[in-house]
Amino acid sequence: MAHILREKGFDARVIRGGLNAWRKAGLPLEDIPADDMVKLPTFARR
Amino acid sequence: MGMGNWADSLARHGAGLLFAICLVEALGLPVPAAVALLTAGALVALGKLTLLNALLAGISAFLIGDVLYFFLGRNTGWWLLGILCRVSTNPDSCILTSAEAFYRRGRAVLLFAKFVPGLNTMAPPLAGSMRMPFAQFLFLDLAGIILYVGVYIGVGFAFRDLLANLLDTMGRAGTIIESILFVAFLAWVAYRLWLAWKSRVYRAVPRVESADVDGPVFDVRSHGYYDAASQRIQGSQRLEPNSLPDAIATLPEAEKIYLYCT
Repeated sequence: MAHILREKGFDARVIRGGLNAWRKAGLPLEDIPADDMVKLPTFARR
Repeated sequence: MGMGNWADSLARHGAGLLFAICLVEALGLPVPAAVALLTAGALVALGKLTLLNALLAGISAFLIGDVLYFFLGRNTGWWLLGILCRVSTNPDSCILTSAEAFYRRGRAVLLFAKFVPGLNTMAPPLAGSMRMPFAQFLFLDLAGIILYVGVYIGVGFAFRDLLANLLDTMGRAGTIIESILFVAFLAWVAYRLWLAWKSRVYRAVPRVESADVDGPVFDVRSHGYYDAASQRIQGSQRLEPNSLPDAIATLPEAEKIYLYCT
């Protein structure tokens, strides 16, 4: 994803270690908003 | 195995060899399952192989491979897709092109994916990573497999004389054709590996520690985001990898953006 975005001109960077590293660092998390669930690919929501 | 003995080997070892070839292709390796199916169709016409055995061998092999990759895709997200795309011209576009085709056309992709090089192996793990219900995947994938296997065996059956002449010619040319094909195959593999290596050298992406993030954050997980009780970095936004072209329009261009996976 980051490679593609950089090739398209975005200054994309990657958080080392991802969500796990963020969680271990004690930084804040939040629940996935309910309205984000509607963005699932449609054929998975039958 | 000489080229001229290809049909003899398939006739001798029958369904077992056909099963193995189809399974290996289903797992993503570049073996000519279509050629094997064509040959099987010709052998069925000649009475050297039964139609039932040929169909069962091809269908079961593809189904086993596809179901395995479906569950690997569901549990590993784009990790498996990255491996499958590793030696493509552009691994990132390989994934996104397949994902977009699947995302836009949905379940119907499974009906014809087997006929599309590249997409044939990508479709099952993509379906898994996109949380397609297994029963739905099984039904559609099986329909696509039956169509693919049936078409090639049918064509082989119908054009058995042409295939026999072709195999006979290749058998007489023998070693020369084998050598040419082998060298061509090696050259193709070397070219793919060189492309993969070249694209890696120029694709360095800056990585930052969590505490150093100072801009918009985007969650790009290929799976897990929609799981029950899932969490994300506070204040982050979802960037759906399966529909990146649509999402790109909403991204800020003039500032640093930060991406993360699991």
